[in-house]
Amino acid sequence: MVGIIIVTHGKFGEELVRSAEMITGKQEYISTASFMPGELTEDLSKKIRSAFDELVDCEKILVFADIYGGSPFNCVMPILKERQFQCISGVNLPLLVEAFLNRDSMDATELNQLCMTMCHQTIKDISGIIQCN
Amino acid sequence: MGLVFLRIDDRLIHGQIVTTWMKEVNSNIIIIANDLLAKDSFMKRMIELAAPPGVKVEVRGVKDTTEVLGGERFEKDRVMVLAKTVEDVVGLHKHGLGFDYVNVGGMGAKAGTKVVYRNISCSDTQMELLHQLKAEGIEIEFKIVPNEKGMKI
Repeated sequence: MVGIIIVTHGKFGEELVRSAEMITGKQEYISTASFMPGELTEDLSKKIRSAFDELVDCEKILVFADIYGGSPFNCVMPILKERQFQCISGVNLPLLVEAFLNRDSMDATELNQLCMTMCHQTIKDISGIIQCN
Repeated sequence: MGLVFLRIDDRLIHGQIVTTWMKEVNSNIIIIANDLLAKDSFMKRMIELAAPPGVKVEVRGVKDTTEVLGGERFEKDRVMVLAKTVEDVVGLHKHGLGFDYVNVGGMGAKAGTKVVYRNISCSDTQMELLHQLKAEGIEIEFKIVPNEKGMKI
C-alpha cells in the first residue's frame, strides 16, 4: 500500500485526514507533519523526516504539501535529494479522498498521475453551473 | 536603483508573503544572501526553480551580494534582498552594502530565543546586533506583512 504523508501550515493536514476518513473509513499508513506558528523550518523538516520514519513499512510514498512555494513545500523538496517519493502540492479534500480510495490498487506514480488528472475536476464554480441552466 | 528592500526571514521565499512585499516595494528580483545556501548547489537550484511566477531569484553569499549590488548589473533594477538571519544583515552592512531600513519578517523560535513580536523570536545577541544597526542610523522594523502596523525598535 502506498504510504501517504501530508505536510501543511498548521493542523490542516491532520484535520484533512480526519475529514477524508469520514468518507473513506479509517486509513492506515498515513502520516502528517504540521508547521505551527513560530516554528523554524528546521523544526518542520524534522517532523517530515519522522513522518517518513513512521511509514518505514511502505515501499512507496506519496507526499502532499499545501501550497506551491510555501514552507511545507520548501521543506519537502530537499528530501527528494535523499530518497525517492512522489510529491504533489495543492492538497484538497477531494484529492485526498481519491488517493485514499485508490492507494491499494495503484503504485505511487500511478496515484500521482490519477490525482493530477483529477485535480481540475475537484474545484467547480457552482454559481456558474446554476446560471447556465 | 539596486537594493530597494532588505528583509530578514528565515523561511526565505514562502507562499504569497514575499510576493505581497514585492508588489508593495515594486520589485521583481530577489537576491537571497546567505553563505551556506550559496555553497549548497542543490538547495540553490531548488530555490531558484521554485521562484514565484515572473520573479527572478538568485542565491548569493553575503560578500557576493554586496559586490553585485555595488556594480552595474542591477543598476536599473529594483532588488529585494532576503537574509536568513540577523547575522547575514550585519555581514551585508560590514561589507559595505548601503541601506537605511531592515524589515524583520520571520525568525522562528529556538533555544535561547524569546518571542519579541507576533511569531518572531530573537536571542539577546541578535537583539543587540539590531540595536547596534539602529545606533548607526538604520531603521529596524518588525513587520510580517505590509498591511499591519508593525513594531519599530
